[in-house]
Formats: sequence, structure tokens, C-alpha cells
Amino acid sequence: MREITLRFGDDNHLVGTLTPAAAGAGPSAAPEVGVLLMNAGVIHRIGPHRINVKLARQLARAGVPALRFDLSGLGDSQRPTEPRPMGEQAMRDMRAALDRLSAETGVRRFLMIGDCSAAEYGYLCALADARVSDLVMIDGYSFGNARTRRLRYSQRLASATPAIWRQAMVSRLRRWLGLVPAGAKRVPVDFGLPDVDAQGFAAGLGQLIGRGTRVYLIYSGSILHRYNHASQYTDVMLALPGLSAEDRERLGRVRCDFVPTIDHTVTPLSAQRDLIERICGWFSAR
Amino acid sequence: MDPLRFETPSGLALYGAYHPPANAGALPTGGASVAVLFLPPLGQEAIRAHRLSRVLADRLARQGQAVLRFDYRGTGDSDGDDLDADLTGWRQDVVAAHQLLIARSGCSDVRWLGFRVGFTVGLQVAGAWSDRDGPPPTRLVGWDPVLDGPDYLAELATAHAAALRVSYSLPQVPEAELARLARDPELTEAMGFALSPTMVSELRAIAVGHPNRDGLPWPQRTAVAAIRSRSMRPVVAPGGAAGIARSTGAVDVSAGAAASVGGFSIEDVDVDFDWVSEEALNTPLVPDQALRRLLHRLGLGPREA
Repeated sequence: MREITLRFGDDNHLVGTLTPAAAGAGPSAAPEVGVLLMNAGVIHRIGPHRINVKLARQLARAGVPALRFDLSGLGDSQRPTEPRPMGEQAMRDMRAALDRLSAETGVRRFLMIGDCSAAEYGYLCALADARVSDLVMIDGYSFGNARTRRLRYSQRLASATPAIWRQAMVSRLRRWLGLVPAGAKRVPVDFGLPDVDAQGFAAGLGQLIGRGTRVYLIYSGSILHRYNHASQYTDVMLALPGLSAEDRERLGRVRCDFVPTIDHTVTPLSAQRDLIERICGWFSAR
Repeated sequence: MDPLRFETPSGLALYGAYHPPANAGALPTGGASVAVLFLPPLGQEAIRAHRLSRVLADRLARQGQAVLRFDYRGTGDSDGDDLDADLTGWRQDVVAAHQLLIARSGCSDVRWLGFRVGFTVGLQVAGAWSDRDGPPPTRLVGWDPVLDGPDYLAELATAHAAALRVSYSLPQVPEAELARLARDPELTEAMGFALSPTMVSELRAIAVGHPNRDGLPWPQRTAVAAIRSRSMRPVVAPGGAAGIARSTGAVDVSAGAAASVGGFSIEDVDVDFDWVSEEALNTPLVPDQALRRLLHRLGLGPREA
């Protein structure tokens, strides 16, 4: 497969790399679904540890074309001449990428795969664009319950070293004595993404599943403070108040894997292989 | 900036980003008088260097220079998998990129900027330069150059262990992974990237300034210089005992001084830069002082920068 570098977007300001489907691969001559990959945080389009390149090429070998691209201002993409607010601009960028991927390969439906901030962008794009038929969110939105909190503390206790104990004690003592200056309070970071609560996420997933979009959530071993047991998604989401039987049925169709051997940026090669196999396996089972 | 792909003699296509000089039309030659080729570092360091490379390339283009950034084979957006990357191939890629930059810019005064092992590769290519390859690079400037291969491999292994321990919430998974890796006779992966036996062997052979060890000729027509971050200086133990070796060389110099190592000067700059960090928040991605010193060393910025 020969990869192709593309420019697109309102001002031709976006840069992406198209990995065409391998000749003769896949179930049919013309691919039906294309894959969109984008920045995780500020990492350029190759992804953390080049995982976007590795994923794109593996999917292309299975007959699925993929486009990895940089959102406005990130990686090699420029800012447009008239930039919009961050979230709005990202949405325009993603739609431009879907249009270009469609124009280049003929696909009409899309799989969006995103890690971290890209998971949330992918989710928002999927809600707004019915062409997104498959969505993978890696370490995206998560919501905990009492068991999550219990496990969080018990895991910390089990793995705490004397140095960690000492730091925790000193930190609490300083706070208790009022020695932490007011300016040291943590300031929330604005990533230009809307706050989504559990009810909102459930409604969004219900909307996606209801229109036929498949959703795969993956939670890594780097965020055990907020996701730390295999049944957490089911325990939390299906227990939300006010859900109808249909809502529960739809939420139950979301695949969710808790994989503590994979880390947030997929560092070990074994974790990279595992992640790629999981995503390709899930996608090919459609 | 023009993204592009270009072929190497090996048939592999490499990704490049060409930054034309902003005022090309106003120059009598119709193009830049100086062009700069960036030689990226390895693995996670290359990811970390991407943002600052783009910012520096934009800055150079604005002041009238042509710039080419590119990814070696087996890296970034270029053809090849991790295991296709080795220094022999990278040396060929550097020559191909150099020739492309001359063709695109119309400029024969090409200066190279090498980050970490990118400097080392540049030094090897410049030392073996053939006139058949065209005009040689006039300058090679390094940032935190890799001068000692065994020390560099040790740094990669240490950084890999640290990255795993930071990345997982609990210690069991990274410790098991590190125990498994420790059974391998050689380093096989570092911070998310596979290393081929060839690559490891070539990295181990790096011994800049020790001609009897690396057997490579020194560049004759290329002026060589480098800058070194605070975090890359050797640590000298009290009493002159052996401290912590660094891949950037065994010579310790005080801040602001210049040391002659292996036939070229290294300037210590008062900058901390973590080449392997994965943090985005509260970490410098583009340390301006280092960029200004690099511009000066390239002969494209003021001395007092």
C-alpha cells in the first residue's frame, strides 16, 4: 500500500495521511467503511508511539482505508484564517476529514478511533454526523460508583511504598495546617470540550446505538483512579435512574473492555499488539 | 508549509514538510540563500521534538530560509515499520532529503540541524560525503547530540522503565513487563518503539570523538557545533569519582561555557528539556532559549540570543 499525503479543510490548512486499502484485501473490491484517526492530546497524527500508523496499516491490510490527520493548529496542520472556538473548529475539521476520506476512497460510512481527547472528539462527531457507523473510545468518558472508590483506595493501599505514605501524610498535614497557598489550588484545564455527565453520556450512547452505530469503549490500566473494574460500565450506566427498558437494551449493546495491561499511551509493544487485535477483531465481527 | 512524500533510492517513500521562505519572491535569486534540513531523533524523542521542529521551521521560513523536515524510514509518517529503521538506511534518507531540499529551494548552502541521534547520523553522512551526492552541508548543528552509543542505550533502557512505571496506575504490570524485558540479551523496545538488532548494534557502535572506536571519518567541509541542555550534562560525583555518564559526552563544563569534545564545540545552555516525557501539561514543548541558540549556531540568529 502506498500512503498518500493530503491537504484539505476550509483553507486547505489541514494535513493528513491516507492509507489506502491493500489491493485484494477485504470482503469486497470496494471498501464500505473508512477509518478516521486524529491527535491524542498534542501528539501529532502518528499518535502516541506511532499507534495511529500501526492501526491504520493493519486495518488497511484487512481492506479498510484509513486517514490520520492533524486538527487545526496541531501537528502539521495550520490554523484557518478565521478560526472558530476550539470545539466548533474541531468539528469542522473532522467533517472535512470524513468528506475527504469519502472522496478519495468512495466509502460512505466511517469508523472513528480516538484515544483520550480524540475519544471525546470522536464521540461528539459521531453524534453530529450519522455517517459514523462505528466508534472506538479509548480512555474516554468514565463514571464511577462506590465500588470504584473502594477499589481506588484499596489499590493505593496495596501498592503504597514508604515514600508514597510519607508524601501523602505530608500533603494532608500541610493542607490541614493551611500551609497550601490559595494560588496552589488546581485550576481545571479547558480543552474546549463540553462537560458530559453519566446521564448525558447514556443519552448519547443510546442515540448512537439506536441509529445503528456500534460503540466500543476501552479503559486502560493508567486511569484506575476513575475506571478500575470490568463491570464498572454496566454497573454504573445500567443503574442510572429513569432509563427505559429500551435504553438499557441499547446501553447493553455497547462493548466495553477494561484492559489493565494496556496503558493510556500504549507503551509496551505487547500492549500495542493487544489493542490493535482488539479493535480489528471487534470491527471485523460487524 | 508544503507536506510531501519523496522517494529514496531504496524505493521507500518518506514524509517531508517543506517550508518555503516567506519572502522568496523578493529575493534576487527567487529563493532562499540558505536552506536548513532537520534531522530528527529516535522514537519518543522524535514525537517530543515534532512541535518545536515545526515552530523553528516556521520561524526560519519567516526570516527567509527554506526548511525541510522529514521522517526517516520506519518512523513517523514514512514508509516502513519500527523494525525497518536502522542507521544505515537513515544515512541514505538524509542524502535523499538533502538533495530534495536543494532541488526545491534552489539553494546550495544547506545547513543541518540534528536532534539527539539525528546529529550523529548527520555527522556520519557528512564525514563520508561524496561529490556525487552534490554540494555537502556547510554546517551541522546538534542539540543534545548522542556521542556515546552504549550510554545512549542505557539511557533508553532507563527511560523506558521510567515511562512504564509512570504510565500504569499500579506497579504490577510494568514490573512484570520489565522483568520480561530484562531476560532479553539486548534492548528490543524503548518507550513504545521496537528496536531491531541492527539498530541496537549500530547505536552501540557510536563513539564520536574516538576515531579508533567508530572508524568513521570526520567531516572535512562541514563546520560542526552543538548545544547541550542542563539535563544532558554528565553528573560528576564529589571528589572526582565517576558520576553518571551521559550519551552527550563525558566532559563536564560549567553553564555557559563551551567545551571541545571530539573536535567540535558544545555550548551548555541554561535549558531543561525532557526528550522522552509524555506529559503535555506544565512541560515545555518549545524551549525558546534553546531555539535561539540553535539559530545562532546555524549562523541564522544573533550571537546574544
